[in-house]
Amino acid sequence: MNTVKKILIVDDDADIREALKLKFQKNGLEIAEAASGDEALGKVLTDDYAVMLLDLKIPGKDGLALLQEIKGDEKLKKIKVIIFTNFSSQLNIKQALELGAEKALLKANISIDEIVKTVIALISRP
Amino acid sequence: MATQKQNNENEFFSWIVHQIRTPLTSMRWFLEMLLEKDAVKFTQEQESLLRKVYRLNAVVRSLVNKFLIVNRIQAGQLALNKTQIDVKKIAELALKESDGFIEEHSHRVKMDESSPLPPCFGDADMVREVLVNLITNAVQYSDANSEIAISFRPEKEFLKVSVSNNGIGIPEDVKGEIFKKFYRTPEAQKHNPGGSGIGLYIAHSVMELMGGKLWLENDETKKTTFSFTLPLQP
Repeated sequence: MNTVKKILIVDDDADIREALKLKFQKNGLEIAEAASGDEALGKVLTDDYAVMLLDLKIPGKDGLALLQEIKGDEKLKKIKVIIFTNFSSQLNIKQALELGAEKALLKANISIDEIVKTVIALISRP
Repeated sequence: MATQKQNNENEFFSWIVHQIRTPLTSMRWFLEMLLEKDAVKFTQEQESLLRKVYRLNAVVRSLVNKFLIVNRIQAGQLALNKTQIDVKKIAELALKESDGFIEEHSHRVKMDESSPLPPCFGDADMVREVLVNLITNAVQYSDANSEIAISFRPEKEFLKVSVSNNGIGIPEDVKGEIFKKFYRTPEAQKHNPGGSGIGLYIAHSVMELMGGKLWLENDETKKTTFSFTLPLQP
């Protein structure tokens, strides 16, 4: 089992981040937040994260560029990335999966319980 | 080939959908947290009102999804991700998504639990969308406390999925109209004035794009069955 359990939520919408933060904390999970690609990159370079929930449409470095950078870095590529979007462009989702994202979820179609289950399953996976 | 103007319009449409979906999503999650068992003590009336808000949030999310799908069908740009799927599992998810509707109308759902089904091929999200549409239609257009049946049957190179109700029925003379965009039978308009008339258009179009088909089977009673097929091979 992965010893690092911290989750990084990368989304420019404060309400989305707040809802996820409350839910994850209630489930005993440690989280950090970033509202832009650059802020997220700063966080992964200074702390360890098991899972990143990554919105594709974020200010600064966008989700796909950030994912590419993480998966191209020997130290960072172990972070399991879940693409988390409300845009549902099949092309972007396909690209994200090819770049090494574990899953792509459409935010509007998933319950908050299902998100927690998905993240816990990913953290528990070697 | 889409023109630059069409591409700009589609891009603008996708942006609108994104802007509407984002607050709907956080609203949904906050409501789910409020309605969690033992999270907050509400009176029965307060909880019932919150459940209505949650159901209405689902109605708007579903409408936004439908508008996006119609826009993509019309532009010839509905990208389907066809993979091997377990249709029974997808039906369970669709039922979960329709829970609020089913409970509010006090319906019972009987899902065929017989022998394991062969895997079939389709876009999981779209099959779920079609099933949610057929299930919520079956609930909305039948009397409270009645039964909705979901069944599965392999047929040659297809898997057939059927959703039935005993409801207001669909007259024989409008059977050819019901898959047209915005068409609603006079009886359906009376029964549920707020319906959009695009659910069956989407379901029918999407099934054809996936290599299957969707049709209506009526009998002499008020039993209405919508069936669709999905190919067993890619």
